[in-house]
Amino acid sequence: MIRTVYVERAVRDHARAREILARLPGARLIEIERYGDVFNSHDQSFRVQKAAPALVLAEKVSRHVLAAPAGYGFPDRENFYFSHMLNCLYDCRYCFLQGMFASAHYVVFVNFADFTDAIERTLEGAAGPSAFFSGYDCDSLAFEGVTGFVRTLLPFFAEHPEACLELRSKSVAVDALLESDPLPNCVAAWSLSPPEVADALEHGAPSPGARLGAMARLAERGWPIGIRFDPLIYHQGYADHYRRFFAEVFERLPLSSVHSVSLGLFRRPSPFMKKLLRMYPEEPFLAAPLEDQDGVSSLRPELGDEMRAICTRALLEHVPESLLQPCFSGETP
Amino acid sequence: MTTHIAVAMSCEARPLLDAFGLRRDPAATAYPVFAGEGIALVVTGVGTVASAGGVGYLAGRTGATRADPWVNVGIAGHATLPIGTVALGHEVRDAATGRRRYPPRSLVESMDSTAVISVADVEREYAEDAAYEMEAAGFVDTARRFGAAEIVQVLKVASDGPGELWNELDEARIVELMAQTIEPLRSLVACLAGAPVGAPLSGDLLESRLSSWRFSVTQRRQLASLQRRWQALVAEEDFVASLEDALSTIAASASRTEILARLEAFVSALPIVLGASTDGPV
Repeated sequence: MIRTVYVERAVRDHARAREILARLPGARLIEIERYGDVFNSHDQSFRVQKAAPALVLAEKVSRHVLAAPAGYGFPDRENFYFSHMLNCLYDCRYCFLQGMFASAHYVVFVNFADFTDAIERTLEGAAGPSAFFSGYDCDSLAFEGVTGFVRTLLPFFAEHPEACLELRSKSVAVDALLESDPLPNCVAAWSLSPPEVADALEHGAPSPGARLGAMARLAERGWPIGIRFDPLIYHQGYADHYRRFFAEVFERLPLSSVHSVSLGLFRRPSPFMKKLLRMYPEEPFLAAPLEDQDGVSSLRPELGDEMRAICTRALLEHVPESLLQPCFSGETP
Repeated sequence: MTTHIAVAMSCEARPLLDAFGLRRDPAATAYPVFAGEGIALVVTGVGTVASAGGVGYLAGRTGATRADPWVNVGIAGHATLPIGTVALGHEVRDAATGRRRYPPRSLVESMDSTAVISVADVEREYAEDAAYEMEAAGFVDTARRFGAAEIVQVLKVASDGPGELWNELDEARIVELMAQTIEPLRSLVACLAGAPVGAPLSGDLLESRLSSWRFSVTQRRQLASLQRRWQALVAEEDFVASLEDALSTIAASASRTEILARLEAFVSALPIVLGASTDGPV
């Protein structure tokens, strides 16, 4: 439950800010000048805030759409991402947002129209087909009940079939999608882990089974489904756990509905990993043998290569290679 | 863990000394310092500069860590709060510079709060719906250099306002008002204590068992990393036995590099078992 809301003075009377505030009648309202005054202070504890995050309502004034990091996105498109929100409702121990942000508060940028305007401008200037990723700095669907962002976004992409949108989520809040006709250019993608990993590390997130249920409902309605086995978590028995889980996933989801499948080892920029280790020194999965290479910390190569090979082999028992996306080299939530 | 309390004036401290059983530290000469079970209190003097200095002095005396809470307690004028009302500061503004700080409310969401404005001179206008006082800005800026932001808080009791003049406050009245802060302060201290704000990794156990070797700074970091991984993978009650098991294989003539390689191999061979946890928000 959100009990504290910081709101930038400039958006206090913005229609969407008023709508959101109306859904949080018991919250204490604190006016601020800029969200960075609350969000960016580096002496904060992400872990403590995560137990009771505040909501920050702000205006995104620039850089609404950004080029995706190298290696992130669809191989045949120019890839971009945008973030109407910073941070996520869930508390996944491996989440890279913990390393990236100083605060666990949820920031929602209420000027949605500026995002769609920026996407439109990007499309006009793009050399070829483009893809836009939501859910890089947040979960695309989990906070939909409060923000209504996806409901704003879908009509825009319905009018721009040349552009591809990926919504990335662990949520089962799929009403916004079920209420809309399926869009062939909108991929609803889920991050999935076997129950052994999810139970231990994905605190507050719907169970993998519940996520699969939501995905199956959307698949049935004709939405293209993305499956992201990312990050793969190294632990005792991982080969069996992932093998069993892949079988369950593709038993419940018709292959015809699957847009793409990707799989990536747990990896983080080295400074993010250091922060993670300070926050959760007691986490067993962070005790795996890690190594820094080119500023990225990940499983020691001999173990990482083996894990990737085992999981890829297990996955290819269920999906054709053509559906496999290359592993994203950058960080992912 | 020690909760650090800063007050401006001796008369503000008096009820707190009694309530928390604090005794004067005779060795502290630059600022009056009082200490008791899990609490240290400094009387800083009036103003943001004095407050900042007092905080720094107290931190130096206690060896404050990032996990030690800090609270500035004191009287404040307020435009709207009834006299005697106690509230946390959710915004702390330095009137001289305009600089604002927002003490996070994650640990203290159920407590009443107000904006706090630190002024250089006594406030007579009470122009904003805020608490007016003279220390909080200096306190927060300095205390957050030692403790995590979540455990640095400001607690004020409304002492004067448009209907009740500041110049009618005498020591007896201030003591009476500060007594109102004791129970909220107890609750606050309980909320802030033990917050998992993160601490630097330590290799103290490994280092002490290997003290006859002189490890370099880099190697000590490696030992700290090994100890962290080890403790994450072995139950607390089994850790010492596991440590002894590994160390028993190390020859007295082994080099530091060999020791690190041996321990690395030992820790890397431990199974990584993920445990289900109920931690985290829903």
